[in-house]
Amino acid sequence: MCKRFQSVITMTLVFLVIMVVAGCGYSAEVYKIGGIFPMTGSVAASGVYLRDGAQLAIDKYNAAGGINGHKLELVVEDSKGVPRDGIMAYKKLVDVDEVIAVLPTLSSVVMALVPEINAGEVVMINTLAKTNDLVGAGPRIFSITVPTSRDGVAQARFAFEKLGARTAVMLYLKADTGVSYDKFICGEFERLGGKILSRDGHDAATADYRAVLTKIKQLNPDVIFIESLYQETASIVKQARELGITAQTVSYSTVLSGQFREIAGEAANGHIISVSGFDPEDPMESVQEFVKTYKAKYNETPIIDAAMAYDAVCMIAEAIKIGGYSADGIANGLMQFPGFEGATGIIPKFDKDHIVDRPISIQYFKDGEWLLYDE
Amino acid sequence: MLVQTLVNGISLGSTYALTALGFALIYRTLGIFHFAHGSVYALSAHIAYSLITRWQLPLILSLIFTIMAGALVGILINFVIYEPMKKQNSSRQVFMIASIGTSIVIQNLIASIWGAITKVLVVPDSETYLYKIYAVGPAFVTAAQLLVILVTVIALIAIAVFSRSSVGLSIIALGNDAAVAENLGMNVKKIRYITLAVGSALAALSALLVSLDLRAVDSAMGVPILLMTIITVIVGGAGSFSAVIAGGYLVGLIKNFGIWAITAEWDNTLLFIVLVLVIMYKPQGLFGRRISKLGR
Repeated sequence: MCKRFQSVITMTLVFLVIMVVAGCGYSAEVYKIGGIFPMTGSVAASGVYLRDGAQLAIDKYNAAGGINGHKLELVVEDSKGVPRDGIMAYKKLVDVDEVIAVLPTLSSVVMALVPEINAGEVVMINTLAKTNDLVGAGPRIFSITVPTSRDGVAQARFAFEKLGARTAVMLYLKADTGVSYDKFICGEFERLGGKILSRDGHDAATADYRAVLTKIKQLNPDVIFIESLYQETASIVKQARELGITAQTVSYSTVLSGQFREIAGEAANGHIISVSGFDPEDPMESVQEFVKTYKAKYNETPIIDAAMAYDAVCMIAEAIKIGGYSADGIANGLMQFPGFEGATGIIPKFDKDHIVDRPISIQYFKDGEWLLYDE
Repeated sequence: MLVQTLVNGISLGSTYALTALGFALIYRTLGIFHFAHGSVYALSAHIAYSLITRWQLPLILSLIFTIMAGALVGILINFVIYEPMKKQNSSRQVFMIASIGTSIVIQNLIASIWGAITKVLVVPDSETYLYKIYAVGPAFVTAAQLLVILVTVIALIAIAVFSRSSVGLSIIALGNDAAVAENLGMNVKKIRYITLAVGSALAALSALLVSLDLRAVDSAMGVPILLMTIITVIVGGAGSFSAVIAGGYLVGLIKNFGIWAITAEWDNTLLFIVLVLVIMYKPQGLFGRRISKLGR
């Protein structure tokens, strides 16, 4: 009896060892890409677009047979827009789902993941976070969005040199991106010789800006920099005009969304943006192809979030073809990737800081469309 | 700037007063810290969005139906959550936790029905007068803001009249002492239902007015208003409805005038400082009077 019991234990242990060993290493059948998106919380709208955009790219590659015969799969975990939950989502993706490539968003979440990425065997492509701290943050950390240091400086230079603005006020979102824009725009504007009259931060989902705008009206600046999410930017622009403020409003391209026009109404006319991301009106074939496919599947016009996620997945897929399915392989593949025409337009090669140096254009809104600013 | 800030403060204070009055009514009468009040506000805003933008109903009909929908939501919450817990003699803490849970459920319900994306409130062509801008001396005010102030005043007058009716007096009596109210033969269960209905209807009215002014609704809009509501009730005084109304206008004015002296990112901090000082030195609220007992 004792011998029989011992043999059962031995067989069980052998079985368990085999299962553990078999579980190690990657499942080569499906190539998984992890999305760490805010599916709930105050920016849940962004998460939905990111997921849908990424899934569209996954579907495209799978329809063509996958990568080297392997299907792609998107695994989404909810960061809730909060760093702590972003880290938990990352750990679940890596430890349970065994993904080796992740697409996070939101500067605070992305920055929280940087130490994890650098300590692990995972590659990250940042889709939307514009915080400058991502520049050269690690060997497996990439970003396909122009950081605030470049975009913000472009806005400041444009306002000073092209608009002739000498005084400005700053309204920024109290999050990494907004704070980063505040630093670089105000720094460059003052370096050029301009004067920043006030700098006011606000929380996401703030609805009423009349109090701070009333103060701004008294200051009478030449330009108002608004570095916030599209809904907040639209509300600020609308309420500024309602209060009789005539200063030029400038923001980054988060407002390239149909909802900006609908919320801001007539006040949207004349608003200026720096564009280094997605424009659904861009006539480039790859952009229009993406817009058409997205509309056909989801019955609405995509916004930058969807386009960025789409391009990020495409780049990972192409990097796998070049470097193989491993974290270092994908990282090497991304560095060798020559760039392509994607949903967000021309995406050049990654530079030494793992950033794509996209061109920045200035556009303004007039009568329902965004036009290139050509003085 | 003074006149503009005053106009902005009164407009903002009106919405705080309405929402906080509904919250205080429920708290004072039922003794429940109704965390779900913010979610009822957000749900009502989405119902208003469907009525106005999707079905293009005239504004007056949308107003009536939104208020009715808010009242119905309050009744449902009482029927499904609070009354069963009342039967089991649950403690106040358990009621609070249940309220938090209800709030989360409603918020996710909104996201699943309408989506988490911000929705733009587009009024029918007949109602575009709401976006006209008027000059009031040196200040500018939109028709939507004037509507907020006007409707709030009408609603507050209506509540004042209601409070003198037999039902209104019953609600006050229940808030003063539930045991005595019951012994006097009042139908306390019916009064609880009416309280939740009226309190939620006020939240619904405020939500519709704010949505018309801001032209957008989103699933998370109940959270900041709940915070302001709680601050209003504590700063004004939970024991008296007129104190809560005064508190709403005071909070609206503090938020607007406070930015004169400090940057906008500190406006909530300023409010919290006021809140802490009130709790420390005048816990009954700036406009309230000490109450010896809150009835259930």
